Amino acid sequence: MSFAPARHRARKNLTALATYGMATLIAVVFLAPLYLVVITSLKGTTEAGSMSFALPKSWHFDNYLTVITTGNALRALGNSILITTMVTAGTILACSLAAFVIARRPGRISGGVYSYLLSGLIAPFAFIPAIRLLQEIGLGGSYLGLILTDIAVQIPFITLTYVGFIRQLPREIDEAALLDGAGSLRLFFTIVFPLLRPVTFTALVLIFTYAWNEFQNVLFLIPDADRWTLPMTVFTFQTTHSFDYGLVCANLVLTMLPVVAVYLAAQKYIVSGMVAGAVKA
Amino acid sequence: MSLAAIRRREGQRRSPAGTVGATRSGVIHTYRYAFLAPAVAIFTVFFLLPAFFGMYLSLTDASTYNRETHFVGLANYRLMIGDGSVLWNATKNQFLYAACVTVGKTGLGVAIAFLLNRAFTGVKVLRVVVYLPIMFSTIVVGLLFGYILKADGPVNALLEPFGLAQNWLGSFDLALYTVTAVDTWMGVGWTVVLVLAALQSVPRELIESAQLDGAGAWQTVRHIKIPCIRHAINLAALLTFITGMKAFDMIYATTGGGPGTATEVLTSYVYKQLNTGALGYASAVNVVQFLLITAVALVINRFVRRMEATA
Repeated sequence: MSFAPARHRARKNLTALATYGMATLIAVVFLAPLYLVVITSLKGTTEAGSMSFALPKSWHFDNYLTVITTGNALRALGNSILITTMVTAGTILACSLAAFVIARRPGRISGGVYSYLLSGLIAPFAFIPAIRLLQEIGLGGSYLGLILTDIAVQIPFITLTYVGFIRQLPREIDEAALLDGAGSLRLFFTIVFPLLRPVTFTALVLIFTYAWNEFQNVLFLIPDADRWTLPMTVFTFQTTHSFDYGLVCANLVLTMLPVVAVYLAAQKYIVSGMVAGAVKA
Repeated sequence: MSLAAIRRREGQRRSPAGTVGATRSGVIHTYRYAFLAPAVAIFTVFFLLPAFFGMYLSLTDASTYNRETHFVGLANYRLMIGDGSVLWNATKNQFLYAACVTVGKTGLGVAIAFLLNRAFTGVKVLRVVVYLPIMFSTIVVGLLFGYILKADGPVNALLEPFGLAQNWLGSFDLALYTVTAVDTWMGVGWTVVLVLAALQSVPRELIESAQLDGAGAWQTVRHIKIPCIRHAINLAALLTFITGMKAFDMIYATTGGGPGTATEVLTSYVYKQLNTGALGYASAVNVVQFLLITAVALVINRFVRRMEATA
């Protein structure tokens, strides 16, 4: 009997060892590619070519400067910021307003509109005809055309998220504001919208990452290179500098940095947003 | 969860209409239908209209180079039948891609979720690391792996001594599977988030009572935990499949559909057609793709609903 606890302990140690072994393996698989891109971005042309795990013999921080000055990076950064901001603001405004009425005013019209918007969760976006459609209404290849398209793609899911949240808010809030004599738009923006903060944060992060990373719509809808966003310019930069891995990797790192920053800052909302999204989709 | 189920459930949750002193005119003035207008207008013009416009375009000889458009009836669809084998190859690859990604992300995702559900030092950091790639642009991840997996790249440098070096993205037999592996690396975190959330909501008492009854670790997993999280696993798998049916970015960034047509999927095929200016024909292929995805999504939606009914 005396060796039973010892065997138990040995077994426990073995489990712990296996756990840490697996954890290390996973960490390596996920971090090694990121390590490689960062370390290569700091190497000179010949050294970067082999894309090895070794530290640089000479550190080339100037790669970043080269990318910013020779590539289209700054202009693309401006485009990305403009498009992402507009898409995020537009989607949140349109969806929170619509969700407010859908959640608060029962009836055939609200219900019908809700089902109508939700159909976008199933139907895929038809991007080919969108090219010609935008041309026909005078928005072909424009920022506005891309922004409105991105908003349209996001409307179904973000509206769903808002409706679910608003239905849990007590109606008394609206009543109190009405007694104060607030008009309906003022009521919404001064009283209701601030209360939606948790769901707005989640929506903010979801829409930001979508618009920042979106590639397909930019590729198909924007022929003018001056209006491309960062991921798109990384792609073309790569085709022109295909043999200077140091520069291409610096460009990749520059594109990834903003998302990593947002991710680390707003992690909580991202995870809750993904769970909410999946459960409702 | 199916759309109908969402509506049902939300219907039950809804508070009794206009209880709190809201007169009819109060309701009308406060919750104006005009508030619905921006969302409905943008969604209609920029999401639904393209779908219907595409059906019209597919019946014309529209070109990106020429604004003049003529009605040509079903000519584009007849052309598609002529291109049958190419189109069939793209469709087959799309399904294969979706299936591989689903198996990879679900299998690994569940395994990683179980690991991350254990308490050990550094588990929180590891969660952050596993979720991180979801945030990146598909195109960026695709390019990055294009470099890592090139013939004389670091992966092959590691595998060379064991004789396992491969032309990962350049081989006709391997390329499609390599791309799905990269996609799995990037997206597995999403499955992990979902399954982990489900695992953490398995009631502790249930696990403890099973252990009191003498269930071993494996039996607890098999008979308590897996049944409790089956819904989350199914959901993750089905949504991954639908996303896989639309996959394009990752393929475009890594192989561009090649070598040859080994990784050609529907959207990359459409993209090539578009480069020749054939908007009408591209629209026709797009319509078929649209119908295919909608059909798959509806079947899956039905399937999920039936599963929920029996659960």
